[in-house]
Amino acid sequence: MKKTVTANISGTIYNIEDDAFDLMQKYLNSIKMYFSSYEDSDEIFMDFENRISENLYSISNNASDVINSKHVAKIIEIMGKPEDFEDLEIEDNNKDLTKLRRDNNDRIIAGVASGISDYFKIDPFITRLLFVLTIPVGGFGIFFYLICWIAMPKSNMIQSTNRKKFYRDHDNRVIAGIAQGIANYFSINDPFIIRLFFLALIFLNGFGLMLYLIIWISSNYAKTIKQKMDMSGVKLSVDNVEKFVKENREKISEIEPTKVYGIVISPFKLVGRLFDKLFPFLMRIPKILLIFLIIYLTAFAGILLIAQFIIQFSLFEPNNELLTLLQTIIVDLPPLTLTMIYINFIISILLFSIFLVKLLSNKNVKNSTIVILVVTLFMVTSFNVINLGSNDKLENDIEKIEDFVEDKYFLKYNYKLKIN
Amino acid sequence: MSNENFKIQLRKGLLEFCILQVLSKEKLYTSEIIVKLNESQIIVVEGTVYPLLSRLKNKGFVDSEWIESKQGPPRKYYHLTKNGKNYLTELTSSYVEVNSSIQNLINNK
Repeated sequence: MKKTVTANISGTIYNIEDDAFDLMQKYLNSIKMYFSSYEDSDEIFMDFENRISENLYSISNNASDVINSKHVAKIIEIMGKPEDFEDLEIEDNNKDLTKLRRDNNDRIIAGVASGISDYFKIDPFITRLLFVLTIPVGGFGIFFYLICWIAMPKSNMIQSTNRKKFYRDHDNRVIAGIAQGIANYFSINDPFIIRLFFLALIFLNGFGLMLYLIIWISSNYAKTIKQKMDMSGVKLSVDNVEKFVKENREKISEIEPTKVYGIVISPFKLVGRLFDKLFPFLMRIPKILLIFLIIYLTAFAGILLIAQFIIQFSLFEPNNELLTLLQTIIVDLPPLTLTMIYINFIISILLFSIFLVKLLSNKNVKNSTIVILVVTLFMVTSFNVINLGSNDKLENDIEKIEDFVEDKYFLKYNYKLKIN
Repeated sequence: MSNENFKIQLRKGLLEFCILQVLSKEKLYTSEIIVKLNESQIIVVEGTVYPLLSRLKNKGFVDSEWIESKQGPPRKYYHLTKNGKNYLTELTSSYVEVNSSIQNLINNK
C-alpha cells in the first residue's frame, strides 16, 4: 500500500505516489534554483514546468494513471539535471568573466564593485569597502564609480565562481546581519562574541558604530540560495542545495535566545526593521536622481578637501598673501555657488569621459543622459553668472587677487626687463 | 564511449544554430521547438533548451510574446529578430564552409 497525493503541475492534476512527489519536488527545487540568477527566471521556470507536465502526460498512458517514482525518474532523464545544462554555459561565462562588466545579479547600486571583483576574482566586499573608504578623499571613490558606471556594460550572465564570500546574513540578523555574516565567514557557531566585540568598540569613541556602518554600506546581503551558499563556502550542486536549505531552516528555528539576551537585543532589532522599511524607498529613487545625488555628494566632499588644503597651507606659510586672499574668497563665496562650481567641474569631466567612452568602445550611452547633463551644466552656469554678477564683495576680492598677481609677478618681470 | 562523447559535443555545439534555424520559419513556443529538435535527434536533454533560449533572448537574437492558448495556460512564443536573422545567416555560411571542408577531408583520404 502506498500513499498518493494530488499535485497540480501547470494546470493538469496528477495523482502522485508520496515518494515520487518528494523526488519531483526536489528536482523542481534544483531547477528553480538553477534559473534563479536568470533575469526572467519565473517565466523560464513556468515554461519548464509546462513541458514537464506535457511529458508526464505522454509517458503515463492517461492522466488518471498514478505517477510513480519511475515516471519521475524518466522525466528527469528527458529534461536533464542542472549539471547537464551547466557545461553548455561554462564557455560563455568564462568569456563574460574575462571582460569587465557590471554584475546585475549581485549589486547594490549598479553592480560596478561586484563586476570589478568578478574580474579580479576577489570578494566583492573588498572592492565595495575600497570604494567607500576612498569617498572622503575628495569624493574620489564616488567619482570613479560614476565613470565605471558609464563605461562598463551591464551583464546578467555573470555567474561568479564558487568561492567563499562575505555577505550579510538576513535570516539570522539583529540589525543588518553583519555579526552573523562575519560568524559565517569564519565558521564561528555563535555570533554573540562578535556582537559583544562591536558593542565594546562603541565605547572606544564610537569606533564600533563607525566600523559597523562602513561594513554595512560596503556589503550586500545574501539574496539567492547561491549567495547564501557562497556565504558559508558550500559548493553548488543538486544534493548540496537540498541539504543546505534543510540545515538552514533548522538553524533558524534552533536558535532560541535566552530572555536577557532577547531584551538586550530588542532595541537593535527595531533599528534593523526600521531600515528595512526605509531601504525599498531608497531603491525606488530614479537612476538619474541618484546620479545627481552622487554628484552633489562628490561636490561637497571636494569642497571640503580644497578648503582643508588652503587652510593647511596657510598654517605652514602664515605670511603668504596669495593664500590669505584665497581664503577670503572662499569665505566670501556663497556656499551654494561654491558647490555649483564644483558640480560644473564634475559634470564637465563626466561629459568628457562619456565622449571618450563613445570614441573608444561600442557601448551605447543613452542620448537622454547626455542631454540632461548638458542642460544641467548650462543651467548651473547661468545660475552662477547671475548670482555672482551682483556680488560686490566678491568683485572686490577678485580685484584684489588680480592686483596682487600683477604686482608680484608681472611687475617683477617688467623690472627685470628694465634692468636688462 | 568516446564515440558517444563526440556525438554529445557535436550536438551541443550545434544546438544554438538549430534553434535559430527552426525559429526562422515560424514562431514557436518552447515545447514545439523541443518537439522539432527531437525529430532531428539533436537534443541530449530537453532542459538545455531553456537556458539557451534565455541567452539568445538576452543577446537580442530572439524575442518572445505571450499568446493565449485554447487549452491550458498562455504560452510564450519565440521569434527571430532582425539581429537574429543576420546572425543565423552568418552561422549558416560558416556551417556550410566547415561542412564542405570536412566533406573534402573525408573524400580525399
